[in-house]
Amino acid sequence: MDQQHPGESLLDLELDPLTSRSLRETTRWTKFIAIVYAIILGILLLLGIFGGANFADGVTSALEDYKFPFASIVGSALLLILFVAVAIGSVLLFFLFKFSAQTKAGLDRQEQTQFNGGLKSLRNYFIIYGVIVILNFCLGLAVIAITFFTLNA
Amino acid sequence: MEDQQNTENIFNLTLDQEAKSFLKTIAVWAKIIAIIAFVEVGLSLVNAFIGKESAAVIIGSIFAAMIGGLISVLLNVFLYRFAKKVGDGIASSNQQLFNEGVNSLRNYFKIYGIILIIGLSLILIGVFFVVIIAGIGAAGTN
Repeated sequence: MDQQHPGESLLDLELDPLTSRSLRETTRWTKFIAIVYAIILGILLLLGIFGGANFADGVTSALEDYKFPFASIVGSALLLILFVAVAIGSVLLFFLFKFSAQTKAGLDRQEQTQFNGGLKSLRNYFIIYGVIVILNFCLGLAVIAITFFTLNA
Repeated sequence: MEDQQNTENIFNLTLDQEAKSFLKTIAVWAKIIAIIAFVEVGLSLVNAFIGKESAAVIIGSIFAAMIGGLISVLLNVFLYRFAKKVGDGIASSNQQLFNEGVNSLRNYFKIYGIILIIGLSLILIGVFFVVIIAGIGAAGTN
């Protein structure tokens, strides 16, 4: 016969007051994080738009002094990476903010659809964040491997 | 008044199949993120030793890797706990485990927010000092 473990319920899982309170606090922090990062991304975007050309020229001329191959495209490539990072970051923040807003609204109005919508946004946030973490990890491994082999060559 | 109304109706929300499916996916990705973060901490400590020539640079790199690693471990322990407990809680319909998991998610984002506040404060203090030093330098040349 199956033993019932502590906390194990014969009924389905529910959002009791304790979980509800934890989720409310989570949404407050996620909203704060999303807003702060949105401001940071906005500043980066403005810097990229208004100072990007000067930055790209500066990087190009500095690298040309060292006779760096492909010096002419490095500055522009860095600027492109900045814009792509801002775009990806914006999508990530959009889902985090949507999670905050929908989950809070779902809890306040006791609406299952909105609550589930919030969880869906959190799922999307974690999927995108996870893919970025995996890519970053692979890139880091490649850098370590290149450094190691360069030193041993 | 509104709080009382919310508390009275709190059990109107349940974890239906759709919500469970979302939470399971979130738990899987959260676990992947946390595990990679733990591995990255180890790698960054190894990387602190590689390719550094002077002792001062090695010590500086290790110190930086340890500070970053400590913050990362602190954060991702909560993310891992969330993933494990929510995943197990849903699988075994254990309300206590599920509650502890959600509590860990709250702690994860809370610590994330606090670290963000500290980081931004340090940047603002840094900018403030740079402006003051630049101002003193400019006044000195005039």
